[in-house]
Amino acid sequence: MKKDKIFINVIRAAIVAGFLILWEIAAVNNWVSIYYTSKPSEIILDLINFTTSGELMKHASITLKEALTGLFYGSIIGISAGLIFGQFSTIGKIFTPIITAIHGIPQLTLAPVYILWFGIGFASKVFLAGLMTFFSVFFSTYNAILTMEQNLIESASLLGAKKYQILLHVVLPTCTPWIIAGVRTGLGASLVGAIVGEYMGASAGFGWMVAYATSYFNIKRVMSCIVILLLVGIVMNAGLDRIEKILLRWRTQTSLSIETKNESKC
Amino acid sequence: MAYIEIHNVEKYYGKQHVLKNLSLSVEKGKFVTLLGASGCGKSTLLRILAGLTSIDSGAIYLGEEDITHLSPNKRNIGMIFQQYSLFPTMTVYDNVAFGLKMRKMNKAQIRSMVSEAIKMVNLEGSEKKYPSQLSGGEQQRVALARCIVTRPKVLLLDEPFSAIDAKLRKSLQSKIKEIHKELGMTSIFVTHDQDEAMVMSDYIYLLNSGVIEQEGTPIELYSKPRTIFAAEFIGDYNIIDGNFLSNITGKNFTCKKIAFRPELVKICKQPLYQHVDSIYFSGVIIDIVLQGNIVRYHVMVDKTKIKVDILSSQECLYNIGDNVYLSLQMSNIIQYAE
Repeated sequence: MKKDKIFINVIRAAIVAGFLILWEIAAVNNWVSIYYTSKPSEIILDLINFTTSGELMKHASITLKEALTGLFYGSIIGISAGLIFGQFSTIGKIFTPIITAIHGIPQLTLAPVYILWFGIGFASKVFLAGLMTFFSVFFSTYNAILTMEQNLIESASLLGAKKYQILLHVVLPTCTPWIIAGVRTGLGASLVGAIVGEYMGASAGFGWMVAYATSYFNIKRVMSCIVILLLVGIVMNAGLDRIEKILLRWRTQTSLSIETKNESKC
Repeated sequence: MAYIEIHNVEKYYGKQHVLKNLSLSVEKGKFVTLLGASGCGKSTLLRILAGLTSIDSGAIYLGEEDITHLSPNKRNIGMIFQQYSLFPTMTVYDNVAFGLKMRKMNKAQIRSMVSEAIKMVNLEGSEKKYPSQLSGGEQQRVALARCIVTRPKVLLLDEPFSAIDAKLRKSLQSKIKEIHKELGMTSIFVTHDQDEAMVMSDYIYLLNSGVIEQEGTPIELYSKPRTIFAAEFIGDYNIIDGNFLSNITGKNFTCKKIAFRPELVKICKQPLYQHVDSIYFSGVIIDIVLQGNIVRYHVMVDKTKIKVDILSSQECLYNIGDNVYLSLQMSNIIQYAE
């Protein structure tokens, strides 16, 4: 098992390193235009510069605050709405088609409208990030309840549980894998929401920085921002993995691949 | 008044009339089986008793209390489902403790009652396991412990053995019977398997298309099926035309249908000495089936197939194609007008 993990990590690191080396060679030999792609060595230097100047912290804290606030509210509202609509089927039948229809509108086209409504500041970005998180969390939670095994609810009721106890002790824990999957999707969506909001109108944040750097053809800064966002995504997903491991310790991991082992008994 | 009374229950699913003015009663401490083919309404009746399905008319009493409109969580009725239905997010201990926690009992009391229930189903040492780490038989035993720990007024079992292999099924059957007796519970068991019903029950209700076809002790149902349906369902009876039997035996049978059990037919290679209280006919063996300790011969008599069972401990005396002589005592024949 440990050997497998080491093997996977080595291969993964080799692929990333290989890609970076190839990129560097391609840029140095002018196989690709450095004007459009920059090169890893330049990006690393820019990252150092970006960090030491204090700019990175400033922009990162703004974007992350917007994204995480949106993720928090979007998740809470999404889970609550999913649970309520799942419990009270009439409410679900009334509102779900409306939410589905709104979800069908590309949110990016509505971003200017949100800026008009909530202003150029923090609120409009949080709203966009929250809304994009809400959709993924809501649909995951709602569908999890709809597909839940009815016998579990019936068993709990026969064992004396009241409706709120069933919701708290049976429905919510059973739906957790799907809720986490929704939050995981929402995590990426909230970052997209915050950054798109910053594209549309802002004076700081990664979205603003990318738009600003692009307008000056400062491609290494654009790439630096992308690298930082990539790292933020990795860290956030790792955190979610930890939470998932604790909350879903009851679940057995399944795999589509069939492992055959030759075990000899003496 | 009996412990459980069901009065004139009617149930429709859309236009389908599932239970037709059905009434039955169950005495306290008895193990009663609702037996019938798929779609006869037996599971619906069980769900009605649990409060999981409403009725269109009628009344249900439990210990003189009218529970017709009482919600499931207030009935104190335990139910074991076919699919185990354990809470996947909880350990064995937490699954068993669930009902007690809902009743807000103190922790020490819960611990002692859960340990006792887990011991009863022989699952000591598995308290910290999750349902996904258990076999089907173990999961069903956890479901049983989860039910009995709350000391329910009635234990309902909805085909609990159908997903379990034959060997494990027998041990689980005897475990349930053992616990039923030990705790003095009243149990209602639903099955489509007549052998299972015979093994488990003190009393059987045979259901057919939403009505009770026949009721009685297992031996009553087995030896005296009142209708052709009961004869076919319970005893795997030979059912043949009265006219046909008149023709091949020379005796006069005025009834339309005749039933007799396969194990009551005597079989011999030579013509048998004829008594006045028996009927005699002959045929050719067309198939031999070994059913555990019983050998079943399919004997073609004219154009009708007769089943004959003999103990397989005897030497297998007959082969396919053999001409054989059959006899049957008149007292073992059941005649049906319709």
